[in-house]
Amino acid sequence: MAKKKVDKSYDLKAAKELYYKYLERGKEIKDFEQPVDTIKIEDLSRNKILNRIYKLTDTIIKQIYNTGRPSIELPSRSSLNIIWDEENDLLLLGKQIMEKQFHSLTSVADITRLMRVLEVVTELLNEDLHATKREVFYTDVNLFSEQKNSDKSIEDVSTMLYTSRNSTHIVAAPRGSCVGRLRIRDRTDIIDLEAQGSGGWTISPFLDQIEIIESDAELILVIEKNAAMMRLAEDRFWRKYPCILLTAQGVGNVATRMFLKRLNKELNLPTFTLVDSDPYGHYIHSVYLRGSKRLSYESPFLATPNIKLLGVLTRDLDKYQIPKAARIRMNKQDEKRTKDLLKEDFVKKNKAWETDLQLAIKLREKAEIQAFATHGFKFLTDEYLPEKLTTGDWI
Amino acid sequence: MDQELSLENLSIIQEIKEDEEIQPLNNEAKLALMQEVGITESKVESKVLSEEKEEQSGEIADKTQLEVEEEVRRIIDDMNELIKPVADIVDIEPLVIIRLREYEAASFLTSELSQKNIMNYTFEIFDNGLGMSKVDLRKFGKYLASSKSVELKQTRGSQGFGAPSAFSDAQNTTGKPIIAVSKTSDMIYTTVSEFFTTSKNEKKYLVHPSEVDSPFLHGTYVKLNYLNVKYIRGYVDTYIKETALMNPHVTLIFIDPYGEEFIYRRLVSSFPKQPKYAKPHPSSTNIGDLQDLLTKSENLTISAFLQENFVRISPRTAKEIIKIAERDLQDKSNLFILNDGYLTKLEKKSDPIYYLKFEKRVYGKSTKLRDKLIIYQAASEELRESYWNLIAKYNILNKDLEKINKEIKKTNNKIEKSETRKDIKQLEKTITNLIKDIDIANKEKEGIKVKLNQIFQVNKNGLVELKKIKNRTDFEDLISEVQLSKKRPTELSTEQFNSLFHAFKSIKYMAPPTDTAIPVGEQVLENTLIKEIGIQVSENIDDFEDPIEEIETIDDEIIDSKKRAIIRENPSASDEILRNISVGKQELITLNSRILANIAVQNANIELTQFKKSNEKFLTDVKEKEDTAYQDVFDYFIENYTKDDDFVSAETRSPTSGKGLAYVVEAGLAYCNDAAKLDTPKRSRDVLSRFVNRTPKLRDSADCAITKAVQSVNWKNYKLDTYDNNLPKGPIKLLINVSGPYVHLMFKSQSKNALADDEDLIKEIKYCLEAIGRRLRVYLNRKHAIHKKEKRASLIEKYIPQFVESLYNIASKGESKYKKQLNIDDLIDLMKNAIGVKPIMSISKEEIIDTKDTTIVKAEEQKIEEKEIKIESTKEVKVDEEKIVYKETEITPAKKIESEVPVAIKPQKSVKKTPKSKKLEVPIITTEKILTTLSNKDWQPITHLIFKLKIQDMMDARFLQLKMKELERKGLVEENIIKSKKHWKLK
Repeated sequence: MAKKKVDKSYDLKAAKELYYKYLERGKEIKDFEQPVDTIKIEDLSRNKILNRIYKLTDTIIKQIYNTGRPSIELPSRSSLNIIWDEENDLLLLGKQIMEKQFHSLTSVADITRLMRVLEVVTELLNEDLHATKREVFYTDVNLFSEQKNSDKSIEDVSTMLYTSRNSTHIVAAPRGSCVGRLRIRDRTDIIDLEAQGSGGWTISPFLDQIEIIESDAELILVIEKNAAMMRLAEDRFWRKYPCILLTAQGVGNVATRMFLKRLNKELNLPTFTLVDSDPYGHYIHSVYLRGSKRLSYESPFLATPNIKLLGVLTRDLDKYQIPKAARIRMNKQDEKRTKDLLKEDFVKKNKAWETDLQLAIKLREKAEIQAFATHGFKFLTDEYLPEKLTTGDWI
Repeated sequence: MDQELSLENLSIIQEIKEDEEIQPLNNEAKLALMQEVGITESKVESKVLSEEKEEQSGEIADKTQLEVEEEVRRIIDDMNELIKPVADIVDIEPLVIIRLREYEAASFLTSELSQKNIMNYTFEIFDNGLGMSKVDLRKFGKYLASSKSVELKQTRGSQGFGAPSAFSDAQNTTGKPIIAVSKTSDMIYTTVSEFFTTSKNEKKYLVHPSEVDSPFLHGTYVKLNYLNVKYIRGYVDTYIKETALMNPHVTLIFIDPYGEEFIYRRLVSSFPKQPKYAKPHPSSTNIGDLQDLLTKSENLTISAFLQENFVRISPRTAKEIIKIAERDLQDKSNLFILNDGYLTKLEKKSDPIYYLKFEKRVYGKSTKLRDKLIIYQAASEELRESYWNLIAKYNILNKDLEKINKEIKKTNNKIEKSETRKDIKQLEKTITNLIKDIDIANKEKEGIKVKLNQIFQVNKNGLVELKKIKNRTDFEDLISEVQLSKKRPTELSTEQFNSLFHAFKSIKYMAPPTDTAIPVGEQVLENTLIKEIGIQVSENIDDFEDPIEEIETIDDEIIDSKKRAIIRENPSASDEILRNISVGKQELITLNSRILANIAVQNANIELTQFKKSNEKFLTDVKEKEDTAYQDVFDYFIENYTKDDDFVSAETRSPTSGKGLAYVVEAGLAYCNDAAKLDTPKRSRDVLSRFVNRTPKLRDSADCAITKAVQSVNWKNYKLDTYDNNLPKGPIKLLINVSGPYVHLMFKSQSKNALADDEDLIKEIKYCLEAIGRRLRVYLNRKHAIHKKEKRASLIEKYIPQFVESLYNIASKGESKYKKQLNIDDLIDLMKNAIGVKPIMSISKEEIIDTKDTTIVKAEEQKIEEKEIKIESTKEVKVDEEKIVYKETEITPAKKIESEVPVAIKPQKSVKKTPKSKKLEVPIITTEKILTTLSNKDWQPITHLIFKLKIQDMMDARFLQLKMKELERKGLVEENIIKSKKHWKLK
């Protein structure tokens, strides 16, 4: 190393201690208990799901024989039916039921697509295969016409069966990657995530086939951007500070979130996010934290409620003296988003987060992770992250 | 259809017969008869002779008798050739045949006229109308031979210009004579004549009116030859087509020069009313008309003349007109008419004042007292002075009047220039005030005259009688000039006439009577459009517009017939007897079975077993169907019978009179869904057909008030597209007809192609079109709704196979209960059948019966009995009619149902009206009833309750809702909201 800049040495164990102290203070680890007025979504085995499917089709056939007018009932996924569970800090699905009738112009296409997806799901389950959303879309392009239609139907099918999407053997396309001090087994292959080159291991959507073997990491760091991830990977950040790095390139997809949740649960490690200092970054953190609205019914399987927002916080901009040139002025949409975030219950509950967002509105400035490059390319890995981690400067 | 026609024909023949009975044979016919019988009557003969002489007074061409006979035969042969195809119906069916034939013109003519290929045309027209009597036929072809120039009637021609113009054009271009053949129903023979018309408005006969045997009862045949015209498609044929549209009471046959036949069949079975002759209205009379009438008048006084020749002139108005005219004349000729005499009005003070008076004197040879004009001169100064004082006042008044008149003119000019309505109103107000001033001034003038009269009556001493005066005749002339009331209409001077006309025009009259305008009629217009274009319209739809409220039950029917029978036998039957009529069960059954027998025999060849089956179907349907509300039947009908319907609507406004013209505006509009029948015209002018007195107007359409009125309608309001010139666009045909006896005055020019803009007329047409437009909008909206529904059904249907396939694939792999019976096609059919069907409420039958009265059980029993009896009765009643007319049974109010109407709908109708079911349908909503209908197991929504309680009225349903709320409050029921709807159950 040409530059010898690092005078301070950081011990990540401090970070770990701080994290657990922090957690204890908030008493945030709890056994998950399903609130009364929400729907219980279960991970189910193949046979159970198939049974459910056959029961459902039987009722539909009965309807046809009786009246000729089939209809399907499923929990409503409209925003009105999404309930924020304060205790667990999760978004869950309420008990509202909607009926999709075949003989109604508004839902005839929906119900037909639903049936088609159900057919695909049955096939997948019968043959114990997995398919991505895209593949499902291509089974009948004419019917679905757009992938968002098939995606919607896929989600509908899983809610209809009161099960998680993963149980229906339909998976998202792999997008996230992971590197660090971790060894896993994918069916028969043992993968060392330390030895994945600079690209990292692509998080497999077939998580039920993955087994976590061992890890000596002290923490897990979720990074918003692939660019920042590559910077850390290039520096072999985990060598210096034993950790596991994850990225989903934007909002965490189902596989990444599930994988993170498993890591968090099984390894019981402090988990942090490193996102841009803008409302979108904060939103990404919130998705890891308590689930997205769209997949609210699967929140218990996807959310990592004890994840912490490490940075880049708005207060860091001044603290680490990011020059004006690297800061970006917030536009109206950003401001609106920030304000929307401030309205959310889970933000209101977290005072530190609230003040940080309020500060953002006050400054009307945002910055990306790359903004630290103005202090040198290694500033992020050598100073910013270790300092924040060891001083417990997170939200 | 043929049957119908023959019926129509019969009615026409009957009418003709009636006419014959009423009209006694006229002289001519009598004479002919007498001659045939051999009786001769000297008087009649002499008359005939004189007639013959008159005929021979015209110029006679040199033709031998033989040649003439040959010519006549040729004419008759030509005519017969034209009539031959219709010979069978020529005396039954009102007919017009028009034939145009084209010949190569003689070569010397073409070479002379131009190099173009000029064609020679023969125009032949035959109609079996009234025909012309010999006298009329002699006039035929002369200018101003029409009787209408004196009296006005709503007919096509008006002044006798058309035929002579056509004739002179024909003979001038070809040099060939005109052939006219005519016969009235009074004549025994047809009159044939061949002639030229001359510039002296006389006829030069080639063939004198000669009598021949007739192939028809009455009618006219005319043949003309033309040269320098060219037949172009699109004018003559359109004219004839449109004429046929507006005159559906005749059959029109047109054969064009290329031999193509256009036959427009008669479409209605009755003739329109004969238009009345109408007197002209003063405000529509021109100065020329008045003059004409005056010169022809035989009245002794102007007052009588006015009253007799115009409508809306009473003796009082006539007097007023004359008074105004006289006032005008007095000022003009400087002579006052005083109560007792006449007084000269002077300019200079030096002139002598003359006072004229008629006094009874003895003069001349007679010894009796007679009126004599005595001329006095004012001699005393006193008289002169008071005279001049009054005259000065009079002159001031005259000057004032002039000023006021000027003022009125000015304000009128201002009105023309001003733009806002407020201004115009204000100016109009000032004008009315000024007119009041004029009245006041005129009254004052009269007052001065009265004073003058007094002065000259009182101061008789100041008057000196002038016995010998040279210009006595001048004074006499002056008096007769001023005294209009004593003149004969024929003797009026120019001054007097002018004054009279001004007075005539200055008075406000009542609007003319409107009974002289005869419209075509909306029914006729609609039928014409339907039949001519071939529009498809459901006939029965109108019967559904209002729910039938007063349905006579069968009980009532039987009671009524019994009553009638009793009254017939014993007219003085007491009320008590009538009231105590009862209906036995057996009677009911027999009547019902008779009715049913009538319904079922649609096809005479039907098998008995089949028949039984179909009836059983009706009877089982009965119970379910009687619950369906009226609206359901209506909806079903609308959906199934009107979705392909075209639209036709006509509107005839009530007659109106504007500016002295009485007229009727009517319009008809057809909207056709079948492009083969009626497509959206490419040119805007093809949408609109204009008619005036049933005559099509093809030229100058842009100038016409009718076109302007159509353009002024906001068609977009009525869901119609428009062309750039704001004429409506779409698969439509629009007919507008303006009828009235005076319409010739409403044209822009003598060519009578376009009606002049008139605010009232345009407004009238606009209202008419808007009335139709509103109906059209309803139709188009309904059509749109049905279309949408169909589209929806097809969209749903598209998804069915896919859905079922997926479902089948899933179910067939698993362990489905239905695995064995599963069949894709069955499922598809089931789902397809469910499209558009309202969800049936799943309530078990037991529940329904519980709520019903016991009477329904009885009714059911009865029906079963009916079924048995009915089968027997069909054997007896061999109905050979194909149509089933419900009228006969008198269950339904005069409703005709076409045999095409599917069987399924019939039983609903017939059964709906059975007495028993009606009694059932009175819902009484009591707490107990509601509580019994509610169960303590299932949640039930309000629709279930409505269904169970047999509520059919919206008000009752509302009451039920309130009742439920009350029960909730009392805590008797439990409520729950399922799918955002309230459901209830017992606690």
